[in-house]
Amino acid sequence: MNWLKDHYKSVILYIFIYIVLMFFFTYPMPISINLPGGVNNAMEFVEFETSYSSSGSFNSSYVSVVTKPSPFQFFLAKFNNKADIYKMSEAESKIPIEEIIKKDKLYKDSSIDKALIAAYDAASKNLSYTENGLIIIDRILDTPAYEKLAVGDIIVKINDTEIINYESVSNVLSEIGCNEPFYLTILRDGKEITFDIEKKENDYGSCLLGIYIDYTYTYYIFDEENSNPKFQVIDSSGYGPSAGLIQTLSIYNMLTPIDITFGLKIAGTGTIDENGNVGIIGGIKQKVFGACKANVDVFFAPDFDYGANGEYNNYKDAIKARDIMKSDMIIVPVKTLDDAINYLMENYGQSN
Amino acid sequence: MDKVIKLIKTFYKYTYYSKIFRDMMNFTRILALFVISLIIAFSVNLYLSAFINETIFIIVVVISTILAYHISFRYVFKEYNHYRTVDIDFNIKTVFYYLFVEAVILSYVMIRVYLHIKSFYI
Repeated sequence: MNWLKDHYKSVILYIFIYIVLMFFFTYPMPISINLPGGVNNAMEFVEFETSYSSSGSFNSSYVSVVTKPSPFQFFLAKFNNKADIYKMSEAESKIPIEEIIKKDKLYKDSSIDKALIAAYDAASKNLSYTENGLIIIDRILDTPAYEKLAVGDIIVKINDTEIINYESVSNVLSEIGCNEPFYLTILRDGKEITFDIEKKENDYGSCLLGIYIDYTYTYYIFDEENSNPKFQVIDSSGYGPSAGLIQTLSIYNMLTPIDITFGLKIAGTGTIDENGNVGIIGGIKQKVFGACKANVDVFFAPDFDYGANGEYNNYKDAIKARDIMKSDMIIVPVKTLDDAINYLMENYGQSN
Repeated sequence: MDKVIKLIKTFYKYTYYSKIFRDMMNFTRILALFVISLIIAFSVNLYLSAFINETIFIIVVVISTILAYHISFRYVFKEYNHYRTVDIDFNIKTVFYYLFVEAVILSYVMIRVYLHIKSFYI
């Protein structure tokens, strides 16, 4: 107690400094930071009964995202020219991190399903599957769907109509009027639940349920046994849909006798749909930084203008990032799976 | 096995047997935990911002824990001596070995916790 009497001012000062520093190191800010990532081998996530080997490799590129960083991390990112800082909206900042991870996992699963369909089709192989509902990855804020549906729910019926995909939902909902109650049947954690819901008018005069095509994906059930060749997904780890194109190329390469890697280390990014169309992604700069560091030979980037005024383009941003790294990596613009395959065949196929 | 038991008994005799030592260790732990928590918070930030890699992060955790324990004990010992005549009935050299062991065990626990948390995000 004598010690405390003699040192109380120092103790108060040190406790104050401790609290300030811990705040600086731990307080979650409503922003997210994209940092350079790297590449992961994308050749080993699915196994086929019979498949062809590759001399090179397909690699998915990833970005490291820090969500709700501390003030100290924000400070470090400000001085890092390879980092991008994004402000989160008030609504986004309230979403628990577990929900963000769950959504990203669903996007990843959806990406693998679409990659299988697109690759089998491109390789003219038979993939047996059925469409069985619509999986909800996210809902539009302040809509009936946001209040009543959860991430991961599968819509299987609207009134008495079986739902198999987004188009069937859209067709049924177009027949239902605003504020007209209807029954929605979903699967949640394996259990079937039916409840009534209605479309409501928002502040912009649109009558919405709150489901948007990009926030959903078709619930496919694959019949691995009746597919030719038979397959098994052995590793669906990872998050997000941006490895779709590379996953598709990897599967395609395993299904066809011509090795389209031609000994190269190939990476890239871009979502894929069932028809082989590539889509835009986020964090292209950081993915290219990571790919350059990993000595990738060829990098595929989506070539679409997007943004309110079409001011952004993944391919152009990739070129700028590559130039910052002073790398020899070749960046290839693609809009479809065929663009990527044709590029490799035309530029490397001749010498083989 | 007998040697190990003898070592543990010697350890106990030259450390925890002493009440003064037990009191000082409690203050040491409190002070060390403040210091360790700050250093770890700082290094976690550096790690998440990709300024240091995982190996360096783990090394920082281990070294900072060991140093924090030793520096805290030295400070507590010095202050104890200032306020009362400390009749040392424990062995200082053995104490520093003990601090090293406790620091290493604590580092191991913290690294296991970190690896467990990390597994949820893979």
